[in-house]
Amino acid sequence: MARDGFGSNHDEHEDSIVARLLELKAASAEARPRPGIVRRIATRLEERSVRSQLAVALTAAALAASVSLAFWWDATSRLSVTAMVTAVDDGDGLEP
Amino acid sequence: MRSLPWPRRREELSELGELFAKSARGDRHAFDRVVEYTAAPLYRVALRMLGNSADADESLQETFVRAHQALAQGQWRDGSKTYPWLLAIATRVCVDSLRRRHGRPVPYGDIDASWLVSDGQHAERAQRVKELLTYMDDLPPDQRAALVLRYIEGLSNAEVAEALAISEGAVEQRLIRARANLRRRFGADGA
Repeated sequence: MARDGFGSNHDEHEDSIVARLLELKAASAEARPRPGIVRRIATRLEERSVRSQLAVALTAAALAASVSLAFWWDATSRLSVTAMVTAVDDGDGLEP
Repeated sequence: MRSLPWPRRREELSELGELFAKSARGDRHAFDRVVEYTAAPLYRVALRMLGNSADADESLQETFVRAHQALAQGQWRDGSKTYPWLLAIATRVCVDSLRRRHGRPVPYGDIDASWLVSDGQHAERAQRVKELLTYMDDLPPDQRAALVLRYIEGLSNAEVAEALAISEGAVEQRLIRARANLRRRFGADGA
């Protein structure tokens, strides 16, 4: 076996496997992508760009929503505590 | 559409280099020119690795999407190789595609051979190529990719190593194993 895996100059040239591979090369020599490949790729890049922008927008919206929720939760908790403290102070029956 | 089997002349490589540099700076028109310039040879590489036109078309699109992203992220440096850089991306895309379908080889009768040149003069050759594609479907993806890059695309072992991101020794081993596997299959079928 030749060291380069191809057969620099002797028996490998006779290799039927290589001959078959070269037939594959010849048989596909004229093959071309379907017409409109540039347009298809441009469309795919645009779709990817839109998806990416959408993902950024959704992430920003989710972040804004979670911050709002945190503020609401904090404010609600403070109000509840304030109401309980006020109720105890007012002696409205909540004392033990 | 202007395309070349492999841009070898200095001025062709220089033009491709300029288009790459402009694409990396966000010039979409320049990137469209890169696609026009290289789509046909890259499609043939994908076709030879994957064996059918639908997968080759899909892989070609994915190759250019990844290339566009890599250019935008600065992964290509001005002045470095152009076509080999694209070929390496195409190879990785094809190997990924082969890995997804490995273990589910396409039966001989189901092989899409519409792209084969198979007029009366070449009908026998088309049959032999279909048989080869069936056997290549059984090879591990990296062996199949090494065979195509080395023997069909005519890359050196060093270039194959670069495209597959492996050592030259590993390329040699894959080629030896791939040839042995195919020879065994042809022998078993009395070819």
